[in-house]
Amino acid sequence: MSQVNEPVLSVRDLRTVIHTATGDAEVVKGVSFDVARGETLALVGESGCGKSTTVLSVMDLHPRPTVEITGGQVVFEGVDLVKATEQQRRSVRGAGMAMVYQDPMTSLNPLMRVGDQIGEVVLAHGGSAEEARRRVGEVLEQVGIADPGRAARAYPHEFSGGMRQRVVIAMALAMRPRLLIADEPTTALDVTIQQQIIALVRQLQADNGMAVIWITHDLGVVARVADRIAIMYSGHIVEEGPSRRVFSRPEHPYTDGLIASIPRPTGSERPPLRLIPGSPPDPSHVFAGCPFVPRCPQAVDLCSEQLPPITERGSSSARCWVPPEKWTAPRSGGVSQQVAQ
Amino acid sequence: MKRSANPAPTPAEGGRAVTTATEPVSSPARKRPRLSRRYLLRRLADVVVTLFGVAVSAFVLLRLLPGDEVTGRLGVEAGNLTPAQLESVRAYYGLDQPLPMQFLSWMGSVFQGNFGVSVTTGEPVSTLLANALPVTVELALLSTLIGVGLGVPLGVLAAAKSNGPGDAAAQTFSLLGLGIPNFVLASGIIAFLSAQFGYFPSAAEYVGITDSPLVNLQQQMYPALVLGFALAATVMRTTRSAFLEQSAQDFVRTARGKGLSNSRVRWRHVLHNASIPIVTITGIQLGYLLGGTIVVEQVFGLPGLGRLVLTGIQQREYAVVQSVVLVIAAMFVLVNLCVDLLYARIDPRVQLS
Ligand SMILES: Nc1ncnc2c1ncn2[C@@H]1O[C@H](COP(=O)(O)OP(=O)(O)OP(=O)(O)O)[C@@H](O)[C@H]1O
Ligand SMILES: [Mg+2]
Repeated sequence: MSQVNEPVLSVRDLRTVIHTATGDAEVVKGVSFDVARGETLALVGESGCGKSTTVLSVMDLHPRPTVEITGGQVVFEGVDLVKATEQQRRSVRGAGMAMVYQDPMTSLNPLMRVGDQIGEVVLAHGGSAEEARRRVGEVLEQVGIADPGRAARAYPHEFSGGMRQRVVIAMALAMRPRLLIADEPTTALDVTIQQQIIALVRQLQADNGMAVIWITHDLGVVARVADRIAIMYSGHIVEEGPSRRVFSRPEHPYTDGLIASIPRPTGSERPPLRLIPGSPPDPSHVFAGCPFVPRCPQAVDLCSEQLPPITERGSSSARCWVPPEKWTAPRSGGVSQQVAQ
Repeated sequence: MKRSANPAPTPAEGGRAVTTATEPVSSPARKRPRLSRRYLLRRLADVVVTLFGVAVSAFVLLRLLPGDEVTGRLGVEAGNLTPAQLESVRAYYGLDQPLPMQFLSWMGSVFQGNFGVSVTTGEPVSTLLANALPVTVELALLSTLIGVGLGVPLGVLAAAKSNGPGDAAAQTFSLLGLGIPNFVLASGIIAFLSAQFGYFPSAAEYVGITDSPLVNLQQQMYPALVLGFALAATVMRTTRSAFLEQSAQDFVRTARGKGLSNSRVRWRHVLHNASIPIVTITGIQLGYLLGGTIVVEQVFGLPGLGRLVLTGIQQREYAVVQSVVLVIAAMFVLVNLCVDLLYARIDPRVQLS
């Protein structure tokens, strides 16, 4: 653990454009973040804000030529993958970093035995058939599947959603990645299974010291898994900081609104659920100022004129012209501290 | 150490005791058999009903044609016979019986393995079939081999480079394959071969594959190319669209996310999942080809089923035509069964029941 401070992944000013029939849309608009060894970064935001597009850019899994990375760096263990050769990127993909996808019902090949799908990762990265076979048994056991031998011979349709997600996780673990990217891995699953999957990933992380990027729009989940939080809005990271700090002292009105909209347990004395009015903008929409202005209770004139820069405040940073001390509208912060723990 | 560690997992969240999912994968013992006896019985019933229907239709349709076996055999000479003579010849062939009786007696002899005798040559129909069937089956299989061998890689190429020049070339190829009629292509090939090499594919007597495989292959190759070309066009189109559809599926992204090579993703994941419609279309086309290809067999002088049935109809050879039609139907049914079994082989979710 000589390089604890060295981030496993360092994304700088990443830009991703989607080419459509009606024109180009920049969906990721200069995103920067770091993930350190053993750390969990939660990437949070409403649907369509560009979370998946960001991590798919990191993994280089976008369909070409529809989606294109137009700028920035994705530095994984010291190598900028954007500039790297396809060969280099492929050797990282699935080995150095691996991904767990949103919908376990569709993310496995229906015609291939589960064991073969997992073993394939090992073979692709130069392992022998013998190693692959051994590793399949190990990871299936690691993700808590009772009879690994039998599971390996089964096909995906013989499993439930929760079990399939375990298989996908096993697949991601096959090469002992240093970074695991989980893109809303529990949204398609029912609540009990969700809890199990979350506990499983945390356990694996504690065992392996993997870094994790956990994508979700459920702040309730974030409170339980994340060391750091990055809040995304309309292709920007609008706030980033240590989990507890973001929950207790949000620096961006959007974060504040998100926290206020976390569902409360019934009978609690906290303020009732308050949703952010309005809906996120279309990703193709280009703003002169801050994209959150139309929905922002704290906005001032300057906000619609110029995009605010990222301002560091202690351990947090936010992209907002108006610091919390100057917010005029009532805020929801403070109460949320209890949510964090 | 400034490592931002995870807070230790609380017992409430499971901690060490990661919930082991014991939810069973359905055990092989409880699994329903993929190929059930019910399925086999049902298919058998289908076969019987289909073949019976085909037999009746062939029988009736043939008799709707003007003339009968006697006039077909004697041609204009039939006019020289007195009505009494004509009647005795008819009686000899059993044509004086009522139609249902004729049908039943034919079916009865077919069940005993006797397909009847050719009125014109006196040869048993079973001999005619034994000669013609291998010709057509070989031609159909060769054409399918060419069609699939050419169509699938071209379809994959077109889809992988979709909208590029490779795609355009493959699309042009498929338009030509679908647009050029068989007889035009066949005549073109014959004209070319005879002009350039002095080789006339249809001139020589047909040589069976067991007699001289090489000569046989030479005789089969050109007609197979003609038929295979058209088939390749169809297969290519199906492959291309199925491949494009499957490429967009989530599991393909998963496959790429593992760091697999492009070719592995294409062939092992995408094409495998795209293979069901390819098998379907190939099965249908093979079914047609096994029915004998009258035009191509005629142009290249191949003594196959198509030719047999054509001369049979011209000469009102009831027994010959009915038997050939029955055999063709049986092969069609057989191909269908093979296609179903292939589905089950490709896709573990398919239950044949
Ligand atoms: N391949 C694509 N073609 C066209 N538009 C796309 C494509 N991929 C993403 N988009 C658009 O880009 C925007 C960002 O999408 P993205 O999937 O990254 O959002 P997200 O934050 O992951 O949302 P969710 O929570 O719903 O998963 C969306 O408006 C989406 O419609
Ligand atoms: Mg998403």
